[in-house]
Amino acid sequence: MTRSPHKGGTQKLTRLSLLVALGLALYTVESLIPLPLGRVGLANLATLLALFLFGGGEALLVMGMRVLLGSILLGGPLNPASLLSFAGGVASTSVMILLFPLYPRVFSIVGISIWGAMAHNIAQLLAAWLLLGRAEGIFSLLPLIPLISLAGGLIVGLLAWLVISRLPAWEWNDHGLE
Amino acid sequence: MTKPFTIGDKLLIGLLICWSLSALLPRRGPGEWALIEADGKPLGRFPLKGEENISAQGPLGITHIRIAGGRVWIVDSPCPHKLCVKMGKKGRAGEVIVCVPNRVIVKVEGRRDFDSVTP
Repeated sequence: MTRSPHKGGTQKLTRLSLLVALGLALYTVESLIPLPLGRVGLANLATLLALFLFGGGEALLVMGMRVLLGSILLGGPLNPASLLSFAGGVASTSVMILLFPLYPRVFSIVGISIWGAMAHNIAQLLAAWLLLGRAEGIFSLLPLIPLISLAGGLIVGLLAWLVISRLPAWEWNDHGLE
Repeated sequence: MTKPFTIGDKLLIGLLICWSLSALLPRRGPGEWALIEADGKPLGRFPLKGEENISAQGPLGITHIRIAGGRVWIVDSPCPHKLCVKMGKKGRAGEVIVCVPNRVIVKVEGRRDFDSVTP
């Protein structure tokens, strides 16, 4: 894989930082919307873009920085909301990285995004279960997971597709994207 | 960039739609009692017939729960967003009210809600 000369270290650093800032902004906006459980997971847009434009390691980095900064901004690192956000972020990013090789033969970026949303919501439910002292009443919310994940994954995936398809081809074609 | 939607996408979306539909149409009978858990410990089962005010002690303070007219709801809670209060009145078997910050769960149970609880 040959990298274009304009993709130097500084430019990559700048772009990854922009993606962290984008994720942080989306995460903050979303935390202002009071919805009982099941967030759309808009912040996952930044992670998804990092995965497709740079790679798995960079996606983990963007997610990790977003969760860390988000927890400092909103409530502190051991706050339940931060722990839920961390669990969701790690799970969705890992699942999307694992399924990335199936792009583009099986899934488009939208499919990968829906899988990420599923992992995000299931991990958050499990984390909430642990935080609540293993109260199994919370699993009554399980039937809502496919619906919320589908909605969130579709929105994020389509947004990511709109963004990447508008970038000049040289921005992504050296990553083997088609 | 490959356009959405590929065959895999469509199968995944179809599967999730079927799963949500099957989950959204459970046979939920009327609930008979409310199981209240605070801080991971069960506080007890309270019958929905009759009237009762229950105080559940969580890490942030006391969550005030009320049962009347066959339904249960959270009247007041010390949590910051009051989502549990906004969740409203629940009376059907399988319905739940959760307050994550104050670690309180109210779960309506009945005789026929096993379908909706077991994943």
